[in-house]
Amino acid sequence: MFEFISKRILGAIPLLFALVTLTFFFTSLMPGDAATAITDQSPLASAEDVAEIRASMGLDRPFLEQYVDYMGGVLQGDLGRSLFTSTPVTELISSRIVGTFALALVGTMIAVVIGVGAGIIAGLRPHGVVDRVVTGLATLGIAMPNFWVGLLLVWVFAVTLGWLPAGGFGQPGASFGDKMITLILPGIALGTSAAAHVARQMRGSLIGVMEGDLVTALDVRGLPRRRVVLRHALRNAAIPVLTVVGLLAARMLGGAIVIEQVFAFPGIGSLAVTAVNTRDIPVVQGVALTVGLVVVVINIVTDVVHVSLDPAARVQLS
Amino acid sequence: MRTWYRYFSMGLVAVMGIAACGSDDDTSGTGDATDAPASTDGSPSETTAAPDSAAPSDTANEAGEDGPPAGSVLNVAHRNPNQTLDLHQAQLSSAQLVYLDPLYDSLLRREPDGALVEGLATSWDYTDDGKTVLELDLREGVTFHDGTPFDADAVVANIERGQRLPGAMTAPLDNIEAVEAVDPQSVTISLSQPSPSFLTDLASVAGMMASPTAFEVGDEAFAVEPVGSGPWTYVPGESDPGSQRVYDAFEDYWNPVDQGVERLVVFEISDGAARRSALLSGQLDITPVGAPDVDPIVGDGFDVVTVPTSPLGWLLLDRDGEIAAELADPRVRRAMNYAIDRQAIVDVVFFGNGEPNDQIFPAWMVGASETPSAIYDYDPDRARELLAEAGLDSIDLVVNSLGALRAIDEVVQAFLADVGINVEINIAEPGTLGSLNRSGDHPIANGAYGSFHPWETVESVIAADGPLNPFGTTDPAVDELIEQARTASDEDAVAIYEEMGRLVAEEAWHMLSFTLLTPFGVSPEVENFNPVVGVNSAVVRGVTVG
Repeated sequence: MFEFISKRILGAIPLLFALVTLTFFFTSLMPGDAATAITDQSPLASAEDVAEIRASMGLDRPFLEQYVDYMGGVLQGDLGRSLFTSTPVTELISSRIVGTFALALVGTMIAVVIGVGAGIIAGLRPHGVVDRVVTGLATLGIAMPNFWVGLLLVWVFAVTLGWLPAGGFGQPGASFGDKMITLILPGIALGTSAAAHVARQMRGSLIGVMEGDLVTALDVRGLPRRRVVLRHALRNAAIPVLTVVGLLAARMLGGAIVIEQVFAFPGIGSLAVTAVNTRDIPVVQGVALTVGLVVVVINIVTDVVHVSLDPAARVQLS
Repeated sequence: MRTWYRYFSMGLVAVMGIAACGSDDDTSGTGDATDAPASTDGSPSETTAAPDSAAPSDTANEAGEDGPPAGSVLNVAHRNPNQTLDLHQAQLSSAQLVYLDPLYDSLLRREPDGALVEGLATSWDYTDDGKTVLELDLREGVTFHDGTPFDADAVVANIERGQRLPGAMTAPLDNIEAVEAVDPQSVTISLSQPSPSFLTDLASVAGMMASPTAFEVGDEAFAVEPVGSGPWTYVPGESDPGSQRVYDAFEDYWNPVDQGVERLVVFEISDGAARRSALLSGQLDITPVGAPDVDPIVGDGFDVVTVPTSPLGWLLLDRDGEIAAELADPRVRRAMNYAIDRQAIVDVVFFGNGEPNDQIFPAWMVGASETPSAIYDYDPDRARELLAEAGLDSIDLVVNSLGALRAIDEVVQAFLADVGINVEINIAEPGTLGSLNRSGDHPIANGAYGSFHPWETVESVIAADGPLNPFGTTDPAVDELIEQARTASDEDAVAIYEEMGRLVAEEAWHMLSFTLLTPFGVSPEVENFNPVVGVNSAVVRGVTVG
């Protein structure tokens, strides 16, 4: 197992390197740079002013030199400073990532609780009324874009009913409880389609197991139905669901980019959007690297859990 | 290898997802230049601001000398993020005033109607005919938040720091040749060349004053813990840059009437729908909103206060026909102006939140004419005649566009097509429209052309070396007027700018559509909110919450 994990971690290094390189390359292909973005709204900025700002940011140096400089910094844990606010990128990201993680966690919890629950109920009585309702809702859930769900939730629960805040991560100095409350609506918006995916996966997987030889054999032995389902069927059905949950958790970090805009939520997603608009390349790079790193970690964890749950995978490994 | 591909594609999706959510719903990202106005004749213009809001600032608040009501909090939002709280490093337009104004006092101040009044300076006067030597008397008994007294040496220190640092908002200070502390309460500023907008500049970021003691910690540290003399002090511990800025009332403030609340929180929210929802659910008290949101917000019992800001439309830059040969003929440029129905554009695209306008100096601008006469009516037949006179059946043009401008441009496109002018709309990347406008590679500029004073517009759009005159076109009559305006008295200047505005409109240097009316959504609890003409962010001195 140790060998398996260390191999995976080593394999991630060239991947992150490629990610940073490509992000650097692609963002530099975007028209305009930080100097043009920052002076965009200024009626008196002459070409010389723009050039002066560009030089002060070091953006007039050859592309390769900027790249080598940046990578050198990254290797030493220095992600540079924001071109827009001059704040160190690591500081910006660390102040924002907690919120995004909390959001993704709430979204994942909602996806797991609702998705697994609904999937089990539907999967135990395939093609019944409940199953049809769950499958229908799941299809709807997958079809609804998460930002639209977010707008709808804000309209109903924040604007019309006034039960929950419309956005943000609490007022300055807000208590822990207040901060948690601000997570509810964006968490649901983020978790809805994920819950639908999980429900479909859980249902399909459970039906497959229930119709398989294992359950038939257990039934023949006269085990109580309850025990068959809880001890044996669910455990086997959970393996592919787990992989899906891992993938969805990673995808939530991407979804958070849109949801954070809808809820004016201060996470790395909204940080990234602002940074792209201001051509704040060090911040864009920092966010891409961070998200990439988190995705890699989630995938490794998913694989490890998968291997420890699935005897077949363990056999393959050894 | 299977998983390798999985990570890879996700990283890409994340980055591309970001790029796709670029532009917002409002024009602010598209070239809505500095907002703002100011000037010297105190007469309020009819178009000035605040139709729905309560009384003007002299009724101020009931708090009086006792300071703001304990525990009172005002929550304000703005669409553009705060770049820095260091006034001398601020690069962006005066949309940043919402972040800077609570913290810093300026030497002069602009009233909601744009008139210049006393700030940290109690009187000011040019002492020479050439208008290059300015004497200012300074207010006594003012201290910065760190206890440093405000005096002439503080003014000198601020001007010198502003000249040393590259902030675009303090660029007008570069025109200062010398600044001298005559005695602790008066300074003399000598300009390299006369600048009719200099006093207006001193009423905005260029005239703001920070504590010279605080400069000693270094430029980077100052930006983190800025110290001014304004009604509120900055609270770095509770602020979250990129999300919210927190300010608490300063106990020893010299003008407590400005401090309507004990705590001010400014949220940075780029998404228009999120700002509207936060207002309607009670999380915000004042926020700029999009034009389509105005009616629903009023329907929900909230107030909407509008303030005129930038003229908006196209600048027909290539007047010598270097790239688009047809634009060299003034008849073609006039035809474009006759072809569009400005009222229809305002009504259809901006839900009435604009004033049809064909002139570069908007009516609200103090120092410009209050009622510039419209030159172009909607007259498509006249447009076709002019094109025929120019010997053209149809012409083809390309214009760069972005965000909310695109909706306007599509309507303009239809009007122009009706008379035989075919326009292709090229969608620019966010943050690049300004540089495309100034590049000299495009015959037409697109956007909003805000300033606080006619002279700023002259320097930007009309002068031969103006950034928004990239082809450097000139006209002897216009040049003559520019020279006259440079040293004219404020009274005489009004007629000069009116003549200049009329001239460039008749020569059709531009095809403007309307002057933006920027709407602010305001909670019914709020009193005394009077936005300042030309400023598209909320300036909240004197505002109280019920």
